[in-house]
Amino acid sequence: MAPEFESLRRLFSKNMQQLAENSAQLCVYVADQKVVDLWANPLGDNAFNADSLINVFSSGKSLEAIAMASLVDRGLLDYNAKVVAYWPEFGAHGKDQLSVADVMRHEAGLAGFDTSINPQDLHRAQIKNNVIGQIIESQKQAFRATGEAILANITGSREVGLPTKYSAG
Amino acid sequence: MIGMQEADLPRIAKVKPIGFLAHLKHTLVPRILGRKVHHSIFAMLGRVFEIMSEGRGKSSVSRPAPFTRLKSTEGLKDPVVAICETFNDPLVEMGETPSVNAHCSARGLARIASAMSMGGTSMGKQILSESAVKSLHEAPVDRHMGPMNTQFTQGGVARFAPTASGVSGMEKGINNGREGFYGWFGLGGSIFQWHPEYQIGFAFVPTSLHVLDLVNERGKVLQTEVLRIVEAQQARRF
Repeated sequence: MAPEFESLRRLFSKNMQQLAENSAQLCVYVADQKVVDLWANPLGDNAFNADSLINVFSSGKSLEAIAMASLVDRGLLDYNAKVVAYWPEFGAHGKDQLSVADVMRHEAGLAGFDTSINPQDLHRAQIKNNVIGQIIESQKQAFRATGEAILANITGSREVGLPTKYSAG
Repeated sequence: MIGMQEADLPRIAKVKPIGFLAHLKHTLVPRILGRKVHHSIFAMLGRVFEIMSEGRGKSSVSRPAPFTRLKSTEGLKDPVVAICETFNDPLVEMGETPSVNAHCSARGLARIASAMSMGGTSMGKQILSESAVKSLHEAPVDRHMGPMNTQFTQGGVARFAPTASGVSGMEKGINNGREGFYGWFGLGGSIFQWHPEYQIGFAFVPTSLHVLDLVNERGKVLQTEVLRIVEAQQARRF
Protein backbone atom coordinates (compact mmCIF):
# COMPACT_ATOMS: atom_id res chain seq x y z
CA MET A 1 0.00 0.00 0.00
CA ALA A 2 1.48 3.36 -1.06
CA PRO A 3 1.98 5.65 1.98
CA GLU A 4 0.17 8.60 0.32
CA PHE A 5 -2.98 6.46 0.34
CA GLU A 6 -2.96 5.73 4.06
CA SER A 7 -6.05 7.94 4.49
CA LEU A 8 -7.90 5.66 2.07
CA ARG A 9 -6.95 2.62 4.14
CA ARG A 10 -8.29 4.31 7.26
CA LEU A 11 -11.51 5.24 5.46
CA PHE A 12 -11.99 1.67 4.16
CA SER A 13 -11.30 0.27 7.62
CA LYS A 14 -13.71 2.72 9.26
CA ASN A 15 -16.47 1.83 6.79
CA MET A 16 -15.93 -1.89 7.36
CA GLN A 17 -16.31 -1.39 11.08
CA GLN A 18 -19.13 1.13 11.15
CA LEU A 19 -21.34 0.32 8.17
CA ALA A 20 -23.44 -2.76 7.50
CA GLU A 21 -20.59 -4.55 5.76
CA ASN A 22 -19.68 -8.19 5.46
CA SER A 23 -16.66 -8.79 3.22
CA ALA A 24 -15.19 -6.33 0.75
CA GLN A 25 -12.23 -5.71 -1.53
CA LEU A 26 -10.72 -2.42 -2.68
CA CYS A 27 -8.00 -2.10 -5.28
CA VAL A 28 -6.64 1.08 -6.90
CA TYR A 29 -4.00 1.72 -9.54
CA VAL A 30 -2.54 5.16 -10.30
CA ALA A 31 -0.29 5.62 -13.32
CA ASP A 32 -0.28 1.83 -13.67
CA GLN A 33 1.10 1.26 -10.18
CA LYS A 34 -1.00 -0.64 -7.66
CA VAL A 35 -1.28 1.81 -4.78
CA VAL A 36 -4.09 0.19 -2.77
CA ASP A 37 -4.88 -3.51 -2.36
CA LEU A 38 -7.19 -4.08 0.60
CA TRP A 39 -9.70 -6.67 1.64
CA ALA A 40 -11.65 -7.33 4.80
CA ASN A 41 -13.86 -10.11 6.10
CA PRO A 42 -15.64 -10.97 9.33
CA LEU A 43 -13.65 -12.58 12.09
CA GLY A 44 -13.49 -16.32 11.59
CA ASP A 45 -14.13 -16.25 7.86
CA ASN A 46 -10.81 -17.45 6.52
CA ALA A 47 -12.25 -18.46 3.18
CA PHE A 48 -12.49 -14.88 1.90
CA ASN A 49 -9.42 -13.23 0.45
CA ALA A 50 -8.35 -10.70 -2.18
CA ASP A 51 -8.87 -13.24 -4.95
CA SER A 52 -12.35 -14.31 -3.92
CA LEU A 53 -14.93 -13.75 -6.63
CA ILE A 54 -18.07 -11.75 -5.98
CA ASN A 55 -21.00 -10.97 -8.24
CA VAL A 56 -20.52 -7.35 -9.33
CA PHE A 57 -23.91 -7.07 -11.04
CA SER A 58 -24.05 -4.09 -13.41
CA SER A 59 -20.34 -3.35 -13.07
CA GLY A 60 -20.11 -6.19 -15.57
CA LYS A 61 -21.62 -3.91 -18.20
CA SER A 62 -18.25 -2.21 -18.54
CA LEU A 63 -16.60 -5.61 -19.02
CA GLU A 64 -18.91 -6.37 -21.91
CA ALA A 65 -18.24 -2.88 -23.30
CA ILE A 66 -14.53 -3.71 -23.27
CA ALA A 67 -15.21 -7.08 -24.90
CA MET A 68 -17.14 -5.33 -27.67
CA ALA A 69 -14.33 -2.81 -28.04
CA SER A 70 -11.94 -5.72 -28.60
CA LEU A 71 -14.04 -6.70 -31.63
CA VAL A 72 -13.90 -3.12 -32.88
CA ASP A 73 -10.14 -3.34 -32.37
CA ARG A 74 -9.95 -6.41 -34.60
CA GLY A 75 -12.06 -4.78 -37.29
CA LEU A 76 -14.95 -7.18 -36.66
CA LEU A 77 -17.42 -4.61 -35.39
CA ASP A 78 -18.35 -1.00 -36.10
CA TYR A 79 -20.31 0.98 -33.50
CA ASN A 80 -22.16 2.85 -36.23
CA ALA A 81 -23.17 -0.26 -38.14
CA LYS A 82 -26.68 -1.65 -37.84
CA VAL A 83 -26.90 -4.73 -35.62
CA VAL A 84 -28.57 -6.57 -38.51
CA ALA A 85 -25.33 -6.29 -40.46
CA TYR A 86 -23.95 -8.93 -38.07
CA TRP A 87 -27.17 -10.59 -36.93
CA PRO A 88 -29.89 -10.34 -39.58
CA GLU A 89 -32.56 -12.05 -37.50
CA PHE A 90 -32.26 -9.37 -34.80
CA GLY A 91 -34.10 -6.97 -37.09
CA ALA A 92 -37.50 -8.57 -36.56
CA HIS A 93 -40.29 -6.42 -35.14
CA GLY A 94 -38.87 -3.13 -36.31
CA LYS A 95 -35.43 -3.46 -34.71
CA ASP A 96 -33.62 -3.32 -38.05
CA GLN A 97 -32.53 0.30 -37.71
CA LEU A 98 -30.76 -0.13 -34.38
CA SER A 99 -27.03 0.46 -34.44
CA VAL A 100 -24.48 -1.24 -32.23
CA ALA A 101 -24.00 2.09 -30.44
CA ASP A 102 -27.75 2.32 -29.77
CA VAL A 103 -27.61 -1.01 -27.96
CA MET A 104 -24.44 -0.11 -26.06
CA ARG A 105 -25.92 3.20 -24.88
CA HIS A 106 -29.16 1.55 -23.63
CA GLU A 107 -31.17 3.34 -26.32
CA ALA A 108 -32.52 0.23 -28.00
CA GLY A 109 -35.73 0.02 -26.00
CA LEU A 110 -34.88 -3.51 -24.95
CA ALA A 111 -34.56 -3.09 -21.20
CA GLY A 112 -36.34 -6.30 -20.38
CA PHE A 113 -37.76 -9.42 -22.00
CA ASP A 114 -41.43 -10.20 -22.24
CA THR A 115 -40.69 -13.64 -20.84
CA SER A 116 -38.75 -15.00 -17.87
CA ILE A 117 -35.55 -16.80 -18.76
CA ASN A 118 -34.69 -20.30 -17.62
CA PRO A 119 -31.23 -19.81 -16.05
CA GLN A 120 -29.98 -22.97 -17.73
CA ASP A 121 -30.57 -21.32 -21.09
CA LEU A 122 -27.72 -18.95 -20.22
CA HIS A 123 -25.21 -21.75 -19.89
CA ARG A 124 -22.67 -21.88 -22.69
CA ALA A 125 -24.06 -24.93 -24.47
CA GLN A 126 -27.54 -23.46 -24.62
CA ILE A 127 -26.26 -20.08 -25.82
CA LYS A 128 -24.61 -21.87 -28.70
CA ASN A 129 -28.02 -23.40 -29.46
CA ASN A 130 -29.36 -19.84 -29.82
CA VAL A 131 -32.12 -20.30 -27.25
CA ILE A 132 -31.64 -16.76 -25.90
CA GLY A 133 -30.92 -15.43 -29.35
CA GLN A 134 -34.34 -16.48 -30.52
CA ILE A 135 -35.93 -14.76 -27.53
CA ILE A 136 -34.09 -11.55 -28.36
CA GLU A 137 -35.10 -11.79 -32.01
CA SER A 138 -38.74 -12.01 -30.98
CA GLN A 139 -38.66 -8.94 -28.72
CA LYS A 140 -40.31 -5.66 -29.58
CA GLN A 141 -38.87 -2.36 -28.48
CA ALA A 142 -40.52 -0.68 -25.49
CA PHE A 143 -40.04 2.89 -24.42
CA ARG A 144 -41.69 5.10 -21.87
CA ALA A 145 -44.46 7.34 -23.20
CA THR A 146 -41.94 10.18 -23.33
CA GLY A 147 -39.72 8.18 -25.64
CA GLU A 148 -37.05 7.73 -22.97
CA ALA A 149 -35.23 4.46 -23.02
CA ILE A 150 -34.57 2.52 -19.83
CA LEU A 151 -31.30 1.11 -18.59
CA ALA A 152 -30.97 -2.38 -19.99
CA ASN A 153 -30.13 -3.95 -16.66
CA ILE A 154 -30.39 -7.59 -17.51
CA THR A 155 -30.83 -7.71 -21.25
CA GLY A 156 -27.79 -5.62 -22.14
CA SER A 157 -25.34 -8.46 -22.19
CA ARG A 158 -27.63 -10.88 -23.92
CA GLU A 159 -28.06 -8.52 -26.84
CA VAL A 160 -24.41 -7.62 -26.79
CA GLY A 161 -23.18 -11.15 -26.33
CA LEU A 162 -24.86 -12.43 -29.39
CA PRO A 163 -23.39 -9.89 -31.81
CA THR A 164 -20.09 -10.83 -30.18
CA LYS A 165 -20.80 -14.46 -31.03
CA TYR A 166 -21.90 -13.65 -34.56
CA SER A 167 -19.11 -11.28 -35.51
CA ALA A 168 -16.34 -13.29 -33.93
CA GLY A 169 -17.53 -16.41 -35.73
CA MET B 1 -15.40 -14.74 -14.70
CA ILE B 2 -18.53 -14.67 -16.76
CA GLY B 3 -20.31 -18.02 -16.66
CA MET B 4 -18.65 -19.77 -13.74
CA GLN B 5 -17.34 -23.27 -14.28
CA GLU B 6 -18.40 -25.80 -11.66
CA ALA B 7 -14.84 -26.27 -10.44
CA ASP B 8 -14.54 -22.55 -9.66
CA LEU B 9 -17.80 -22.18 -7.77
CA PRO B 10 -16.03 -22.56 -4.37
CA ARG B 11 -14.14 -19.30 -5.09
CA ILE B 12 -17.36 -17.35 -4.96
CA ALA B 13 -18.19 -15.26 -1.89
CA LYS B 14 -21.97 -15.06 -1.84
CA VAL B 15 -23.63 -11.67 -1.81
CA LYS B 16 -25.60 -10.78 1.30
CA PRO B 17 -28.34 -8.22 0.66
CA ILE B 18 -29.67 -5.94 3.34
CA GLY B 19 -33.43 -6.30 3.09
CA PHE B 20 -35.62 -3.44 1.98
CA LEU B 21 -37.15 -2.78 5.41
CA ALA B 22 -33.86 -3.37 7.20
CA HIS B 23 -32.19 -0.77 4.99
CA LEU B 24 -34.97 1.73 5.66
CA LYS B 25 -34.66 1.12 9.41
CA HIS B 26 -30.94 1.81 9.21
CA THR B 27 -31.62 5.20 7.60
CA LEU B 28 -33.53 6.27 10.72
CA VAL B 29 -30.40 6.19 12.87
CA PRO B 30 -28.40 9.44 12.94
CA ARG B 31 -24.80 9.20 11.75
CA ILE B 32 -23.59 10.29 15.18
CA LEU B 33 -25.35 7.30 16.71
CA GLY B 34 -23.75 4.89 14.29
CA ARG B 35 -25.93 4.74 11.18
CA LYS B 36 -24.87 1.70 9.16
CA VAL B 37 -25.89 2.88 5.71
CA HIS B 38 -24.82 5.90 3.67
CA HIS B 39 -28.09 7.83 3.51
CA SER B 40 -30.17 9.31 6.27
CA ILE B 41 -33.94 8.94 6.18
CA PHE B 42 -34.18 12.50 4.88
CA ALA B 43 -31.80 11.84 2.00
CA MET B 44 -33.62 8.59 1.27
CA LEU B 45 -37.02 10.29 1.23
CA GLY B 46 -35.58 12.98 -1.03
CA ARG B 47 -34.47 10.30 -3.48
CA VAL B 48 -37.89 8.62 -3.37
CA PHE B 49 -39.59 11.94 -4.00
CA GLU B 50 -37.34 12.65 -6.98
CA ILE B 51 -38.01 9.23 -8.47
CA MET B 52 -41.74 9.56 -7.99
CA SER B 53 -41.78 13.11 -9.38
CA GLU B 54 -39.81 12.02 -12.40
CA GLY B 55 -42.13 9.10 -13.02
CA ARG B 56 -45.37 11.04 -12.71
CA GLY B 57 -47.40 10.90 -15.89
CA LYS B 58 -45.04 8.47 -17.58
CA SER B 59 -46.08 4.94 -18.24
CA SER B 60 -43.65 2.39 -16.97
CA VAL B 61 -42.83 -0.65 -19.04
CA SER B 62 -44.02 -3.69 -17.15
CA ARG B 63 -41.93 -6.84 -17.49
CA PRO B 64 -41.98 -10.29 -15.85
CA ALA B 65 -39.23 -11.41 -13.47
CA PRO B 66 -35.99 -11.92 -15.39
CA PHE B 67 -35.59 -15.56 -14.35
CA THR B 68 -38.02 -18.38 -13.84
CA ARG B 69 -38.59 -19.21 -10.19
CA LEU B 70 -35.79 -21.07 -8.44
CA LYS B 71 -36.20 -23.52 -5.54
CA SER B 72 -33.51 -21.63 -3.63
CA THR B 73 -35.62 -18.45 -3.49
CA GLU B 74 -38.99 -20.00 -2.70
CA GLY B 75 -40.52 -18.58 0.44
CA LEU B 76 -38.39 -15.44 0.49
CA LYS B 77 -40.77 -12.60 1.27
CA ASP B 78 -38.49 -9.60 0.84
CA PRO B 79 -38.35 -9.00 -2.93
CA VAL B 80 -34.92 -7.37 -2.66
CA VAL B 81 -33.52 -10.38 -0.84
CA ALA B 82 -35.22 -12.75 -3.30
CA ILE B 83 -33.69 -11.01 -6.32
CA CYS B 84 -30.23 -11.01 -4.81
CA GLU B 85 -30.48 -14.63 -3.60
CA THR B 86 -31.41 -15.62 -7.15
CA PHE B 87 -27.91 -14.65 -8.14
CA ASN B 88 -26.43 -16.81 -5.35
CA ASP B 89 -27.91 -19.91 -6.98
CA PRO B 90 -25.20 -21.98 -8.75
CA LEU B 91 -27.53 -22.46 -11.69
CA VAL B 92 -27.49 -18.69 -12.22
CA GLU B 93 -23.82 -18.30 -11.29
CA MET B 94 -22.92 -20.59 -14.18
CA GLY B 95 -24.87 -18.52 -16.71
CA GLU B 96 -23.29 -16.02 -19.09
CA THR B 97 -24.90 -12.66 -18.43
CA PRO B 98 -22.03 -10.17 -18.02
CA SER B 99 -24.28 -7.16 -17.62
CA VAL B 100 -25.58 -8.48 -14.31
CA ASN B 101 -23.75 -11.67 -13.42
CA ALA B 102 -19.97 -11.32 -13.68
CA HIS B 103 -17.96 -12.74 -10.76
CA CYS B 104 -14.85 -10.69 -10.15
CA SER B 105 -12.30 -9.62 -7.62
CA ALA B 106 -11.38 -5.97 -7.08
CA ARG B 107 -7.81 -6.91 -8.01
CA GLY B 108 -8.87 -8.21 -11.40
CA LEU B 109 -11.19 -5.33 -12.13
CA ALA B 110 -8.72 -2.67 -11.02
CA ARG B 111 -6.04 -4.13 -13.31
CA ILE B 112 -8.41 -3.88 -16.28
CA ALA B 113 -9.48 -0.39 -15.18
CA SER B 114 -5.84 0.63 -15.01
CA ALA B 115 -5.37 -0.54 -18.59
CA MET B 116 -8.38 1.52 -19.69
CA SER B 117 -6.98 4.57 -17.93
CA MET B 118 -3.58 4.08 -19.56
CA GLY B 119 -4.72 3.76 -23.17
CA GLY B 120 -5.29 0.03 -23.22
CA THR B 121 -2.17 -1.49 -21.66
CA SER B 122 -1.33 -2.27 -18.06
CA MET B 123 2.04 -3.58 -16.86
CA GLY B 124 3.05 -4.52 -20.37
CA LYS B 125 -0.16 -6.45 -21.12
CA GLN B 126 -2.30 -4.92 -23.85
CA ILE B 127 -6.03 -5.37 -23.53
CA LEU B 128 -7.05 -2.89 -26.21
CA SER B 129 -5.16 -0.73 -28.67
CA GLU B 130 -5.11 3.01 -28.08
CA SER B 131 -7.45 3.57 -31.00
CA ALA B 132 -9.97 1.08 -29.61
CA VAL B 133 -9.83 2.74 -26.18
CA LYS B 134 -10.40 6.11 -27.86
CA SER B 135 -13.32 4.69 -29.83
CA LEU B 136 -14.82 3.15 -26.68
CA HIS B 137 -14.87 6.58 -25.02
CA GLU B 138 -16.13 8.59 -27.98
CA ALA B 139 -19.46 10.21 -28.79
CA PRO B 140 -20.92 10.52 -25.27
CA VAL B 141 -24.59 11.39 -25.34
CA ASP B 142 -26.73 12.70 -22.51
CA ARG B 143 -28.80 9.88 -21.05
CA HIS B 144 -31.90 10.84 -19.19
CA MET B 145 -32.68 7.78 -17.06
CA GLY B 146 -35.40 9.08 -14.80
CA PRO B 147 -33.78 11.28 -12.16
CA MET B 148 -30.33 9.82 -12.95
CA ASN B 149 -28.85 11.88 -15.74
CA THR B 150 -25.44 11.05 -17.02
CA GLN B 151 -23.68 10.42 -20.33
CA PHE B 152 -23.02 7.16 -22.16
CA THR B 153 -20.35 6.78 -24.81
CA GLN B 154 -20.82 4.88 -28.06
CA GLY B 155 -18.89 2.03 -26.51
CA GLY B 156 -21.36 1.73 -23.66
CA VAL B 157 -19.57 3.18 -20.64
CA ALA B 158 -20.88 6.07 -18.59
CA ARG B 159 -18.95 9.29 -18.30
CA PHE B 160 -19.42 10.98 -14.93
CA ALA B 161 -19.23 14.74 -15.24
CA PRO B 162 -19.58 17.69 -12.86
CA THR B 163 -23.16 18.79 -12.36
CA ALA B 164 -24.51 22.33 -12.39
CA SER B 165 -26.23 23.78 -9.37
CA GLY B 166 -29.93 23.20 -9.01
CA VAL B 167 -29.92 19.68 -10.34
CA SER B 168 -31.53 16.83 -8.45
CA GLY B 169 -29.99 15.03 -5.52
CA MET B 170 -29.87 11.85 -7.58
CA GLU B 171 -27.95 13.56 -10.36
CA LYS B 172 -25.46 14.96 -7.88
CA GLY B 173 -25.30 11.56 -6.27
CA ILE B 174 -24.41 9.77 -9.48
CA ASN B 175 -21.85 12.31 -10.71
CA ASN B 176 -20.37 14.48 -7.96
CA GLY B 177 -17.36 12.99 -6.26
CA ARG B 178 -16.51 10.78 -9.24
CA GLU B 179 -16.08 13.46 -11.90
CA GLY B 180 -13.90 12.33 -14.77
CA PHE B 181 -14.39 8.62 -14.13
CA TYR B 182 -15.75 6.28 -16.81
CA GLY B 183 -17.42 2.92 -16.27
CA TRP B 184 -20.45 1.95 -14.21
CA PHE B 185 -21.42 0.45 -10.87
CA GLY B 186 -23.35 -2.59 -9.67
CA LEU B 187 -26.46 -3.32 -7.64
CA GLY B 188 -25.83 -2.85 -3.95
CA GLY B 189 -22.28 -1.58 -4.01
CA SER B 190 -19.64 -2.61 -6.55
CA ILE B 191 -17.78 0.05 -8.52
CA PHE B 192 -15.56 -0.64 -11.56
CA GLN B 193 -14.36 2.66 -13.06
CA TRP B 194 -11.31 4.41 -14.46
CA HIS B 195 -10.12 7.98 -14.78
CA PRO B 196 -8.10 8.55 -17.95
CA GLU B 197 -6.95 12.07 -17.09
CA TYR B 198 -5.45 11.03 -13.73
CA GLN B 199 -4.67 7.45 -14.88
CA ILE B 200 -6.67 5.89 -12.05
CA GLY B 201 -8.04 2.36 -12.14
CA PHE B 202 -10.57 1.77 -9.33
CA ALA B 203 -12.51 -1.24 -8.11
CA PHE B 204 -14.58 -1.69 -4.95
CA VAL B 205 -16.33 -5.04 -4.55
CA PRO B 206 -18.44 -5.78 -1.44
CA THR B 207 -20.57 -8.77 -0.55
CA SER B 208 -23.00 -6.73 1.55
CA LEU B 209 -25.55 -5.25 -0.84
CA HIS B 210 -27.06 -1.88 0.09
CA VAL B 211 -29.70 -2.05 -2.59
CA LEU B 212 -31.35 1.27 -1.74
CA ASP B 213 -28.04 3.07 -2.30
CA LEU B 214 -29.09 3.45 -5.92
CA VAL B 215 -26.01 5.16 -7.31
CA ASN B 216 -23.42 3.55 -5.02
CA GLU B 217 -22.54 6.57 -2.92
CA ARG B 218 -21.21 4.32 -0.13
CA GLY B 219 -18.33 3.29 -2.42
CA LYS B 220 -18.15 6.70 -4.05
CA VAL B 221 -16.65 8.17 -0.86
CA LEU B 222 -13.63 5.96 -1.54
CA GLN B 223 -13.39 7.27 -5.11
CA THR B 224 -13.65 10.84 -3.84
CA GLU B 225 -10.76 10.21 -1.45
CA VAL B 226 -8.65 8.76 -4.29
CA LEU B 227 -9.36 11.88 -6.37
CA ARG B 228 -8.41 14.12 -3.44
CA ILE B 229 -5.09 12.34 -2.96
CA VAL B 230 -4.21 12.29 -6.65
CA GLU B 231 -5.15 15.94 -7.13
CA ALA B 232 -3.00 16.88 -4.14
CA GLN B 233 -0.11 14.93 -5.66
CA GLN B 234 -0.57 16.76 -8.96
CA ALA B 235 -0.73 20.14 -7.21
CA ARG B 236 2.56 19.43 -5.43
CA ARG B 237 4.20 18.61 -8.77
CA PHE B 238 3.22 21.93 -10.26
